[in-house]
Amino acid sequence: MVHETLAATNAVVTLDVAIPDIFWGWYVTMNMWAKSIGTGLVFMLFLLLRKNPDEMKGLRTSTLIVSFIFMNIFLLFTLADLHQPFRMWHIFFYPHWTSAITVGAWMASIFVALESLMIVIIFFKKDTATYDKLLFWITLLAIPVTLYTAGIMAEATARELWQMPTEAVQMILAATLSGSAAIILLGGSKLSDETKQFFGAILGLSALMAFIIYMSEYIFGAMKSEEVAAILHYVKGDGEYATMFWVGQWVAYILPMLLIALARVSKSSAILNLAAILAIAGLWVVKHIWLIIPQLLPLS
Amino acid sequence: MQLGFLVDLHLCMGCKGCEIACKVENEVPLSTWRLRVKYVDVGTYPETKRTFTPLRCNHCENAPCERICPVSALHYLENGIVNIDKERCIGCAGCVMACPYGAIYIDPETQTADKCTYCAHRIASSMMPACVVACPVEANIFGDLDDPTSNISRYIQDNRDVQVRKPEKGTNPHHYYVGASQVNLNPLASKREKGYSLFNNITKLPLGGHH
Amino acid sequence: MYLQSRRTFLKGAAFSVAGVAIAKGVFTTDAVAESVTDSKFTNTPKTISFYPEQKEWDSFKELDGTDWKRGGIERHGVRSAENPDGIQVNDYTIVPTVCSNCEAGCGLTAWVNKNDFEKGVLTVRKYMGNPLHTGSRGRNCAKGYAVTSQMYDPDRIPFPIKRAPGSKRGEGKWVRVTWDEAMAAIGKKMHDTLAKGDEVSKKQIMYHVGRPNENGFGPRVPQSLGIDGYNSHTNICSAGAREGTIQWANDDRNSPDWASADLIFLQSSHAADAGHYFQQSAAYIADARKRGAKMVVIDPRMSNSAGMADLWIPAWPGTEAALYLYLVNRIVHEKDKDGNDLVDHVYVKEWLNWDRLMANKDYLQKMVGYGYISKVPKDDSYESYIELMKELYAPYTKEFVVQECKLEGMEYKLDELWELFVPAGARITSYLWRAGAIGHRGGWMNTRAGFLPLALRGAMRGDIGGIGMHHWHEISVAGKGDKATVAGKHPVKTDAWNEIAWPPEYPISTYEMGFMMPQIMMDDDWHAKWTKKGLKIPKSMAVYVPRMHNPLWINPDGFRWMEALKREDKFELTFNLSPTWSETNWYCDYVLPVGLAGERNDQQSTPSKPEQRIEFRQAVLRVAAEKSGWKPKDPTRATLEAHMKFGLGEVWEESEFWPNLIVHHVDPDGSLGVRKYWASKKDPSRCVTVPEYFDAALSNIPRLNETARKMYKGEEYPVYAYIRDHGCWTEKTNVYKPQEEELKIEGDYVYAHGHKYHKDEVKKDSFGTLWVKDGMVEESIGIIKDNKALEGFHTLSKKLEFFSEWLTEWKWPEYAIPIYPRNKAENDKMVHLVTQVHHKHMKGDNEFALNTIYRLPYNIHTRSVNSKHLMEISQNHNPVWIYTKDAEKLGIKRGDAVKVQIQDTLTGIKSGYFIAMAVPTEATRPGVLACSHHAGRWKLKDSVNIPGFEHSLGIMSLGSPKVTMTNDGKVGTMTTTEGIHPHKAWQFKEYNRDLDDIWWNGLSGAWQNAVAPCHPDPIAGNHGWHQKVILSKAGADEKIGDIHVNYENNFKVYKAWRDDLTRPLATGDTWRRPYHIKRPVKPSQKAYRVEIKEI
Ligand SMILES: Nc1nc2c(c(=O)[nH]1)N[C@H]1C(S)=C(S)[C@@H](COP(=O)(O)OP(=O)(O)OC[C@H]3O[C@@H](n4cnc5c(=O)[nH]c(N)nc54)[C@H](O)[C@@H]3O)O[C@H]1N2
Ligand SMILES: Nc1nc2c(c(=O)[nH]1)N[C@H]1C(S)=C(S)[C@@H](COP(=O)(O)OP(=O)(O)OC[C@H]3O[C@@H](n4cnc5c(=O)[nH]c(N)nc54)[C@H](O)[C@@H]3O)O[C@H]1N2
Ligand code: SF4
Ligand code: SF4
Ligand code: SF4
Ligand code: SF4
Ligand code: SF4
Ligand SMILES: [Mo]
Repeated sequence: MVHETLAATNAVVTLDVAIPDIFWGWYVTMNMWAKSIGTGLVFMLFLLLRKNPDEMKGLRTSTLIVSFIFMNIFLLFTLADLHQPFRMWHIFFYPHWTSAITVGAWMASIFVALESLMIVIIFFKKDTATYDKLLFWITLLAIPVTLYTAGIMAEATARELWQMPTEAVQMILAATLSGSAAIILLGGSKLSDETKQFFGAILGLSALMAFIIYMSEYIFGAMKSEEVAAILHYVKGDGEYATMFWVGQWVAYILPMLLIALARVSKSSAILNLAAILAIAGLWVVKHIWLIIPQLLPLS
Repeated sequence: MQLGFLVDLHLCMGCKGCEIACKVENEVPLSTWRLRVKYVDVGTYPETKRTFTPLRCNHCENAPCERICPVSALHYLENGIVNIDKERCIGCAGCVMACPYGAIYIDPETQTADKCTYCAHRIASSMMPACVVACPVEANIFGDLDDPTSNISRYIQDNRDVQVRKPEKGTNPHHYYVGASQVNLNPLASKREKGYSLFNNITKLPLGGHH
Repeated sequence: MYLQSRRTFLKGAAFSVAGVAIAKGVFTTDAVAESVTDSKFTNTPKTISFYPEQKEWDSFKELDGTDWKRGGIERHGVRSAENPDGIQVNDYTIVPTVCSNCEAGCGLTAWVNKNDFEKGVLTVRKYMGNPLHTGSRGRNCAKGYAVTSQMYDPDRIPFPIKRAPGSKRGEGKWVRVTWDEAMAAIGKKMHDTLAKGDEVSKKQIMYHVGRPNENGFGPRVPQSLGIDGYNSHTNICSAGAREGTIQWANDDRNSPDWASADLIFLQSSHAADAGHYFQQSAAYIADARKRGAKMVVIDPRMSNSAGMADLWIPAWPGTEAALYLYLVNRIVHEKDKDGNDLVDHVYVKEWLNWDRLMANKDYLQKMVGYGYISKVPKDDSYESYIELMKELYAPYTKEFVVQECKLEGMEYKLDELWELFVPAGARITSYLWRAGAIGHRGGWMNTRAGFLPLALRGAMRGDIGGIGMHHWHEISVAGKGDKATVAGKHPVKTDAWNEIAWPPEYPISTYEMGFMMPQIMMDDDWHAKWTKKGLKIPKSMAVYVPRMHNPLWINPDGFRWMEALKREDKFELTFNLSPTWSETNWYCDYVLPVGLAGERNDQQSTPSKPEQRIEFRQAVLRVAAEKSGWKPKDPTRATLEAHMKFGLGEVWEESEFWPNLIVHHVDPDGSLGVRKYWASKKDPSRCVTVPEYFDAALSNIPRLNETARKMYKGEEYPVYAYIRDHGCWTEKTNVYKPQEEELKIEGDYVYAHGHKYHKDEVKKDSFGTLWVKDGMVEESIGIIKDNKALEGFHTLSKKLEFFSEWLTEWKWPEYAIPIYPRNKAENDKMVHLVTQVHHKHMKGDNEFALNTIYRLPYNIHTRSVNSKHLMEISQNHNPVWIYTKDAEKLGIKRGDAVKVQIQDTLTGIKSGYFIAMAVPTEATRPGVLACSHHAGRWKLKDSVNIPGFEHSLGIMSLGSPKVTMTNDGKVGTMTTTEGIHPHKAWQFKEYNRDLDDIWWNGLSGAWQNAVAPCHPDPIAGNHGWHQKVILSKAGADEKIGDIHVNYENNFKVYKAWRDDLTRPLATGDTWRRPYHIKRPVKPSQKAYRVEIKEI
């Protein structure tokens, strides 16, 4: 940024057209948030299957249904965010494969189809074996499904803040954070305390890592790029979104981490549940802020 | 054939003839622009200057908008133009997020993405883009970059300070500026404070469609 | 949107089910590709042109930009019978016409889409430039392209309307009338007035015109009626500049050769904002700058032009004369680097009237008396003149300028100016017009002083890259269609002199005092006084016609205008010829919707470069329809019929309206002797038609006449046909130095200005000037130089007049040479020359000069208000610009509402205030605020309902907020109540689909003109636009747009300026005005004669 306080470079826009405000708003936040939960739950199911198949009982159906619901929320908001929702079918008839949106839409559709299939299998056929086999494949698919939004963000060339490596990690972490939180809540008495603590640990670690990445961006991002610096302005000092940013960080990450530590010590599942609720709610805020701020910057 | 644009900022006087010509030619609805001319005042009294910058789609060779478009509503024409198809567009706004130059908007009337097409319909009719015809001072130079004898190619050869916006984005714009300073090319080099300014209301609008 | 999308969705779903979508894709590609190959359209054209060739204009096919949005021809092909889904091809008739948004008169072409002509639809899809127009070269500014949005303005007045019977003016009740009804009523009133036949009745019809954008048709109307009834707006526009130029050259204004200059020397904004012949000038300036020319701009505000100049000099407004005389001082005293004089002696000696000054011992003695020089020069040689100049201008030192123009700390800028000035030699050009010349008392001296350094350098020779004169580069023939009429000759001059337009206080004003008409009309004491002195002044106007004018809004003291126009005893019948709503409409009896740029028929000529050219504005729908075979029922009303038939509404235009009105209603039986001037020679039962009249008028242009007759052999109106198809004509290029051309002498006859004189009639005086007798006066026709009779300038002496001898006779001897007060004592004494906003009047930190004059490149006075595209940019926003540090001192921040109180510095009287938005900026000088006049529009109602008409007529719904107003004859107030909203249009719906996307509210403008008192310069008669203001933050209950005016006070200010400063006609004076200087419509010499009785 040219140093504006120098007299010679004092530069002020004195005539300009109105430029569009935020394009991807809370619909997209909902989309990412719901998808994190949806895919996250699948990850957790898979882990549970690996770690403690016994406890899968009773959770196979409910968890998948919840995941399915969230995946549909995700799809719904994806659709609703389109200005021409009725043309969604174009993605399937005129797919453009360089677009992460296309790839994502296809994968997400397959993912949801697979989920439906598994629900049918488990609900009507009660075929746990096939279910568990499919769980592997769907978990595999969940990875790109949860990642592809990072791909879109990467392809959003205009938004310097979003870089593929970090966003990819953040997407996965969002899934593990919200997935673990969701399964803690869903599991209730069906999960052993130990398993719960296991998921609590995942939650805590996800929160920690996500928090570290955000803080790294927050502190170091500005040093490498003029645009990132300008974007982070919105969440620093008395920036427009500074308060909301910190609310998000506290609610999504810092408080859950503290609570999980506390829950470990006090062995309280109530505290764990609280951590889970906070993480899920906070994630929305965090995602939203990160989505919004790069869109505030005039691009030209 | 690779069509390209060049604006000589030494000449542009900010009359906005191009802007209105574009609006009329392409029926660009109120609240949206394919082309805008921005004024930035630079310096302190009495050494103040006013700069004018026409901004439109760059028709990037490596266009992020085209890449992200899930349905190829955005597509290249054989003449190098990045064209757009409102019937194909699903209105995902991916392109809006991708274009590093803010060149795309959602048309509030059609609810689809739209942007400067270098007046592709005029080109196909063997006519210059409307904004090129308009410019009183011939600040807008247009033509075939593949043809070394074209006006634009010559202009590029004859001027040392030919620049593009945000070269670091790797988009390879086919839209050049001569005589540009930071303030012209880099939106971060000036303050764009919201509210009424000298000439009009500097503002942001709810995007086409959600208002 | 959703409905449409759903349809597509269903279609898509159906396709996909059947797998048709893909099949169709494969199947249709061939047809699509074929449709392209079969057409002339291709994405890889061999050439790309700016305009189609003229021969293709009757039918030119182009793809439609809106339909292209479906993906273009690659995806859909070109529309044809075989490929109905292809991209639409528009079949255009390209009809040339002329922009009318400013006086540049740039060529336009209307692209009339005739795809649906068979269905009775013709649409102007767009206006572009006219490449044949050698001034505008096919280019236009924003306002040119916006003509489309003006044409399809959703609030256009669709038919004539009349004040509802029983209602008062300003009540806003209207009924619909037909053109014939309106003409019958108006015609009768005019007939009855003229039938009286006395002197007063010849002053009771007033045609009051804004910027007419045509050359002579309008003036012919009052002249043909035998009245003195032409009034114009010039004195709020440019009187100061005209006065100064008249004194120099007896020409209306100068005419620069921008393109070839090396230094563009501006105190106007021609390079990027406005100025006469705006975009053409800007384009030629750009051409010069491409070649390396430099540009200087003198302006207290950083205009766009100043913002891109090589040098910006923010002199204190109204003090520029000091700066110019400083240049003179240096020019006469210094030498160039080779040791040569900077004065171009050859030129000065030849073409300045120094000889008359030096011969006038009496005046030289006076100069000694004024303290200008210390003694009368020893002889009358040129060398002594130069010595005189050295002494005269020595006081204008750098120190003096810095102090007078308040350029402290900017001495370096004066050095830079000099560095740019000298190397440019005689290739310096300028257009002295508004700015310092109009804004101030004594502004005319700005032009007097401004031309002097340029003259001394030889730049006023009218040569390449220098400065010529306006009338050299202009052709006016629109008033000369006489041969098409029964009379066959030009109407005679009237013997009446209209004191309402030309009061005896302002004998040398330039021109009519139109802007103070209400003050004059409502001043009974004034009326009584001059009546006693023997003048016959009407007490009322029988018929008042503003045309292309919005006097109520654009003039100072708007409430006085409102008050006056409401008085039915003062203005008996009023009708506004206006296509659109305006504040003035509201107070008129009739609003008659006439056409805009592409809907009128008139000839214009713009001297934007050293050539002679005309352009022809025409009603494009009529022309396009006629070219497609349509014929009007009544050829004298072809334009009206075409507009009604092709969807524009009952929109007429003046070159058909006036002839019809006069022939059928004003003088139906010819008894008034008026009819014959408008009845058609071809068929005397009707009036002239457009082709008849303009064919005759344009035949007066010799080369055009000849060319057209060759090209259009067999056509009944060949010259008209030429201009119809081309829209313009360049008669002569490279018009340089016509003053040095020899007069034609054949045998015993001398030819000058179209007249032929026998040698014996011509007398030569001791200065070589040639004189002939013209009625009661002597007229000069040329000058002898080196034994050759040359044209000379337009002045009496035939030279540029450094010394304005006639000004001494017209009571202002002390100002007959370029001069400017040199010290405090002179500054106080020469009150006529010193701006009312001189810095000596600014005492506190909160006292400022307010610059109320500047334009925005994308606005045109009050014409842009309902162009959606222009309004989207400008938004009725006219903030008060204030220098950042001044704002800081007063604690004013961006967006703050500020109270701007106007105070007159002659009387100390306060007018009232307006509340505006403040914007601190680095772009105006300390101590000087700026506020543009395009915004601050208002209306009292959103719309009016016309009984029997289903839609209500919207009023300026794109650019004007709604207000409430009070006015009691003394004090007027206004406050905004509602901003601009998104809405739907009933008229021109297709074009206005996007009005629901309006996003501005227009609430940041204020009508500043209403607060300003009317205060004319005592000599030039220009309204001094600048105001001294006292600035404060607005009170809690005051909001932007509020105004409060004590217009009774304003009346006192007006009287003080008139009575304390002018030198009116007095007993013993025998002429109303110097006969040799211009009057737009000259009455007879008899009318010029006057006798003022002693009382
Ligand atoms: N865009 C546009 N162009 C137009 C018009 C329009 O409405 N819009 N109108 C046309 C008409 S009718 C006219 S008369 C011309 C006028 O065009 P110009 O002659 O250029 O006059 P303005 O625009 O009134 O003022 C020119 C500059 O003078 C500056 N100025 C004001 N007061 C002073 C002063 O006291 N001293 C000095 N040195 N400068 C001063 C203003 O800040 C402004 O930048 O433009 C014509 N062209
Ligand atoms: N404060 C301030 N006031 C100013 C100025 C300034 O610099 N500062 N500038 C002054 C100057 S230089 C001028 S020239 C005047 C201009 O003042 P005007 O000549 O009165 O103003 P316009 O807005 O050009 O046109 C007036 C009206 O003409 C009608 N009209 C528009 N187009 C057409 C048409 O094609 N045909 C017909 N018949 N009518 C039409 C509309 O009703 C419009 O409102 O303003 C003056 N007022
Ligand atoms: S400028 Fe933006 S819209 Fe234009 S081609 Fe490049 S990325 Fe696409
Ligand atoms: S909004 Fe339309 S054009 Fe843009 S990426 Fe989405 S589908 Fe493509
Ligand atoms: S090339 Fe055409 S579409 Fe692009 S900015 Fe110019 S006029 Fe508008
Ligand atoms: S038309 Fe030309 S001069 Fe005017 S704003 Fe556009 S590029 Fe600049
Ligand atoms: S300069 Fe004047 S006449 Fe020319 S296009 Fe612009 S508004 Fe029209
Ligand atoms: Mo004017």
